[in-house]
Amino acid sequence: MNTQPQPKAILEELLKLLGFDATVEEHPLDDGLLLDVKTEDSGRLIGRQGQTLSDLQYLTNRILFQQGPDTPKVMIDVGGYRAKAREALAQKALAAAEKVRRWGDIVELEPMSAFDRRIIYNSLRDDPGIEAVSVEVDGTTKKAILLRPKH
Amino acid sequence: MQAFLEYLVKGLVQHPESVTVTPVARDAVTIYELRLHPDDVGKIIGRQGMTINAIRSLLVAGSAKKALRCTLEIVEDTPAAKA
Repeated sequence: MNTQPQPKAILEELLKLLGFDATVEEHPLDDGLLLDVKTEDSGRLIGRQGQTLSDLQYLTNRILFQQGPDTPKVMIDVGGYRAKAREALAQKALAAAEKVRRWGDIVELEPMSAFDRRIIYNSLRDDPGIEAVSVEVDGTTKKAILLRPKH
Repeated sequence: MQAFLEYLVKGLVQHPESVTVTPVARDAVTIYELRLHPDDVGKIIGRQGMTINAIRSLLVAGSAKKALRCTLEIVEDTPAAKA
């Protein structure tokens, strides 16, 4: 039961076999590990709206999970793409929270994946005045977050 | 692409020794036939096809880079079925 999961090695192998000439850097995060991929062909690896990147991250995490259910999840980025998207989402969350605080209204954000919602929730975690809930949206597996004042 | 699929799929299943990937060329498209231990088929498909679609997406991204067209199909051999 002492299999040593090597997220970086797994990702490098996947990229190599896919034909991407890439290097992978490890960066520790508060809540896990970030693997940042540097490649000439970053557009192809990111895909439309980051879809290929999401798929790569999902499968890497599935392999890690198969090695042991307690293995920490990794986040994969390509040349800072996700870092930029993450920062934009956090800003959006804070702006929406400010709107709720100022007007006392409910603000609904557009439907997002669980991954993106987690970024929103995390950036509002320490805000005592805001309550955030996810609601189902017809026609998509994504959910919308509602922000409202906490009473 | 075959080595990629084998490495990836073997990393995802309970029975890596039962995984085979067979390329079948049809016109300009290469179809990779994937055979698995019956217990692993659901795992490779994933919830709402999530896992198999993610594998296909990477396969397409990688093969497009080499100007190839590839698809992936799971083949379930049913021995001695239908009597």
